[in-house]
Amino acid sequence: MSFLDTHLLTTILLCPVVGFVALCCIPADRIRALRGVALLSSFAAFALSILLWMRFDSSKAELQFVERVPWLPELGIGYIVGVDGLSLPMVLLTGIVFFTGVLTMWELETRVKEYFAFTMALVTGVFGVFIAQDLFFLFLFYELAVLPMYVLIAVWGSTRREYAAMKLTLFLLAGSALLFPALIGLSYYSGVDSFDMQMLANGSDEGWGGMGLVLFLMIYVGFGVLAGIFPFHTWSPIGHVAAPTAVSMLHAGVLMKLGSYGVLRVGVTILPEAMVEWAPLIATLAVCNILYGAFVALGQTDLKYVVGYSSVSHMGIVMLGLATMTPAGISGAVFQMFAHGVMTALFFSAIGHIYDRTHTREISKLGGLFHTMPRASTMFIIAGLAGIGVPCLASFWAELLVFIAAVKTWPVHGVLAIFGLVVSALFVLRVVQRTFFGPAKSEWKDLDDLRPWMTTPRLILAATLLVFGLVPGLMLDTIEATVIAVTRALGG
Amino acid sequence: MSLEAWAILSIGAPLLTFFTILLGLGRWPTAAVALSIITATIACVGTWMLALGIEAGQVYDIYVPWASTPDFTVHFGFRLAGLSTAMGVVVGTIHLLVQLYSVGYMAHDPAKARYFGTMSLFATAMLTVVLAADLAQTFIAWELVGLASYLLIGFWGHKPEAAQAAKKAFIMTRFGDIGLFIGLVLLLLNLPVESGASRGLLISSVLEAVNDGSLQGQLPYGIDLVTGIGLLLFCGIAGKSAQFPLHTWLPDAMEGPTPVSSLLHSATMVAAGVYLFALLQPLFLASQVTSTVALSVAVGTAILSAGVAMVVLDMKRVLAWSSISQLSFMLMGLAAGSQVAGFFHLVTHAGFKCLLFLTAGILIHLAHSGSMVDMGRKVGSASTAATLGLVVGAASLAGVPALAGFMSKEVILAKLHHHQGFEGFYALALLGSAMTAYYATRMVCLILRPAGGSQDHEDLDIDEEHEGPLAIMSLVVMALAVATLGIGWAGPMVAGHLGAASESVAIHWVSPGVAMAMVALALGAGLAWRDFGAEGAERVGFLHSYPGVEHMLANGWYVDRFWRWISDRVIDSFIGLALLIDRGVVDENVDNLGYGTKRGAIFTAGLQNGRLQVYLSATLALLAVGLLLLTRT
Repeated sequence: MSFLDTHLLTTILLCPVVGFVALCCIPADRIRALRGVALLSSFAAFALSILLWMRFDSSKAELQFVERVPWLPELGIGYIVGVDGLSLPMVLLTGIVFFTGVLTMWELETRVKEYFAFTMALVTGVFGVFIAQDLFFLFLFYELAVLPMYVLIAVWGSTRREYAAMKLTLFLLAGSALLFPALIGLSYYSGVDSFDMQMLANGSDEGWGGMGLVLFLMIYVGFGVLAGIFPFHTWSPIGHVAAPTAVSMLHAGVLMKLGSYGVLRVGVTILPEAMVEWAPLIATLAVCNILYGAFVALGQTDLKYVVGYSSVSHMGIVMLGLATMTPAGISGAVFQMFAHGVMTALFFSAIGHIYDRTHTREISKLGGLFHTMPRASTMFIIAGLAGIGVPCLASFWAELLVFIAAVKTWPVHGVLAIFGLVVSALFVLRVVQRTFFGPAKSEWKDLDDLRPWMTTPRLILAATLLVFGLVPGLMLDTIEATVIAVTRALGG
Repeated sequence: MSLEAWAILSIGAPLLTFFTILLGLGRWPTAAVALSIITATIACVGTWMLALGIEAGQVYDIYVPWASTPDFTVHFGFRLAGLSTAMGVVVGTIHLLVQLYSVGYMAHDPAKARYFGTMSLFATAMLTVVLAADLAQTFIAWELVGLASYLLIGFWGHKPEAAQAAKKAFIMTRFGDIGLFIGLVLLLLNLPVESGASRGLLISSVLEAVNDGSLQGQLPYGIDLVTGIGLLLFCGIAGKSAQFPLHTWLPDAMEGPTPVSSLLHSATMVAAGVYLFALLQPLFLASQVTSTVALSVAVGTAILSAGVAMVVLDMKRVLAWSSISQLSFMLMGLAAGSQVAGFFHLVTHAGFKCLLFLTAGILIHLAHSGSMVDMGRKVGSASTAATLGLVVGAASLAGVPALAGFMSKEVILAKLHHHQGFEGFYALALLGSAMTAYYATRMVCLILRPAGGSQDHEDLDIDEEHEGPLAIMSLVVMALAVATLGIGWAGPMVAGHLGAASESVAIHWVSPGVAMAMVALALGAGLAWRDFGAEGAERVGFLHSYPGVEHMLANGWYVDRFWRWISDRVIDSFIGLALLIDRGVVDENVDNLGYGTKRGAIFTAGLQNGRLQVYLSATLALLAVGLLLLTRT
């Protein structure tokens, strides 16, 4: 076990890499073997991320499980990984969504090999971003996570998939175009001549001055595109709609979190003074996300669009939490990233099944599905209830923390955001009413419900929401020490 | 067993049932029902043990941190005091009775396991609201109560009306809860804390801060802190307890199964708002503005909803409007400053309204219709239990002396009567009483004295399949009817438990107040008898001669229309605007940027066409422009 103790993060990172290599070696027609490899690799990552969670010492604020391998010392680049209270929940989230995503796509028949291989590549990138503590590697992994998306949507997608894939890729690359110079700028102007994020954060005492403001804005917009901040959000719902089920799960579940995590990890921890300056803008755009996203979601007619725009709204809560710059607000933001990831994964997982059977996502064509698919419907409703902040599901605590902190720091923003709760309740319940309730339609009478085996991934997601909803301390204690350290730098 | 063990058992046992049914017991409905009844009994016994276990005037606070952040802590625990344990008994007892009744009522429903599971979830949530130690915990349970209500109103979700009503109930109460939530956040942020201690909303410390006046401050725009918080909290109370203008969800909520209406939408859940008012009464009374607003809203709602109950024909809807009106009476008592008056009416109302709903359940079962005219025509007085329940319940509601409703309402009226400056409110409350007597009498007459006199009810089809369930239902109704007869005399006991003097509920039989109440009763009941009961009555009501008024009442004073206008017009235009911006402005520009780049690329690619004359002319043109610029400087 001693190897695991010192190399646990690299081992987690290697799970999808090994899976990728193995998938490449297996002939494309051996579907069972391909699925087996994908399942094994994702389960290993899932189990190891739980192990990581259990071994994490939540009383410490600093990085844990750190591994350092110098790579280009003359440029100050090294393979540095480590987790703290901000990244650990994200690693666990990725493990959960990865595993349940593979299970959800169990019945995939077309190009199984390529599909799983690209998923592995994407997940490698996501894990990498969440554990990397070196800006260069962070950016490398970031690009690795973003690019497979294009192929996954363009090949396995549905509605307007090529348009959506292209839009998504262009958007994210535009974000990268801002990020890359910003990251180099961080290293260049910091005076420490390194890409090590800890050194950057500690070595910036003399202040960044005006350059800090510019760099922060570039980082905020660059990562923010991925987090769907208004007005750079339109790629995201279109991408969700076009993507196949598990890709939607990964996309909304973890990929959007890369954006908000990036803002928090790179922007807030390295440039806290600039964060304080930009906070009013961030809070205002966050409230736009929350209210505007909810109203647009209310006007949608396609199930996936509704959930896509609800993500825009919920990501606003994350950004609002960051903008409060208080321990409660940032804890809430991290909690919300986790909870929202699990929740949207459950949403898309349930919609995937419904679309599979009915071949439509038009809300007006559906109706009365509760009779034919009680299990799938229940899963969607649980996700919906989490989405509107019903207590005892994880998102409730996240929203509670963010809203309390917001009313304290930004009273007007906070109160407006709280009104978003009614609007989001309205769109979720409207969808639930029109899709699942009402008289059973004859054309949907003979559809299969989820089989017990296929219920497993959804159950894992629902159970996660419930466990963290009933015992919020599990998450809050993990985040707390790190968040206190972060807010101290913000002057809070 | 210790008190906290009983408290944990009371809320834990139904929760266990909920999860067991959710996780698979639902496949065996009989076992699910049995387990529900057992845990409902445990919860009921637990609440009684709590009430008997505490001593008058004492408060037991037991809590542990539930979610803690560096800024504040949310606790989970129990605050066992006179008020909370008394309310616990009401909830625990009515829940058990309704669950027993449901065994009969839901006997043939294929989804009864889901029904019993959700009812158990409701019991847990409601008891947590009542026993909570921390206002944040109260809020959490309050929202869960809303969830259970949503699931139960929409229990027959295949009926579009039920699905619609469930959504409406959730959204409207949620609307009020926004106020409650903001109010609680402001309370949390402004509550004085000792240095080093974590912020929190423990009820005991909130009450302490209010009582010693340390909760003070100003909100933006010069609003007094206590007033602002009080008004915001009252929004939540108005939503949950269906007060104007957030009351319109309650009549629609009658789409749920009748036992649900009985437990949630008359006896207990809607009383949660009143309970919260009673619990935080010092906070509301600390501000003249808040208490006056609350009193005005309550009096207005009482009149408004009693008026609607006078013209509606569906029995459950009459009862729903009546619940709204009676909840207003409770709030009047509380806002006028008497905790005992308001709470005692809550207790008696829980008894007689539950009785009336369960009676309605039997009548609906027999008549296969919710209309009182149909009930009169098909059932009349054929069912002894129903007749007994109807007469006892309605007489109580109308305020016949010595019956439950009279005993508690009289305390409230006396409180208003003797309060300086509340003469106007008192007069309106008396008017509300008269209207109550009218619609209660009308209900009895329509059912027991149908048009065309007593018909033969031979065609009443009680087949063998329905006999057993009906027997259970009848038994529960009769037991509750007997209990309702006695509950009116429990006033001194309730007062003692709440730590108040027993004089506060004493009725001064020979006094102008009682005389006035009698006049109101006689007027209301007499008018209703003339309209519906007497031989040769037209059975349309005196309001029929005023079509404008009747129309307005039948439409619930158009409040519902107002909300529909909000939801259809205002919200839809917001949606339209948001969509317009999203597609027409934000996304349009994104697309234009993309397509523009593409078109630009095609254009510049087109320039590379290999024609020398084009290259040459372009070069010359650039040269000319360059020279021109150079010569100018």
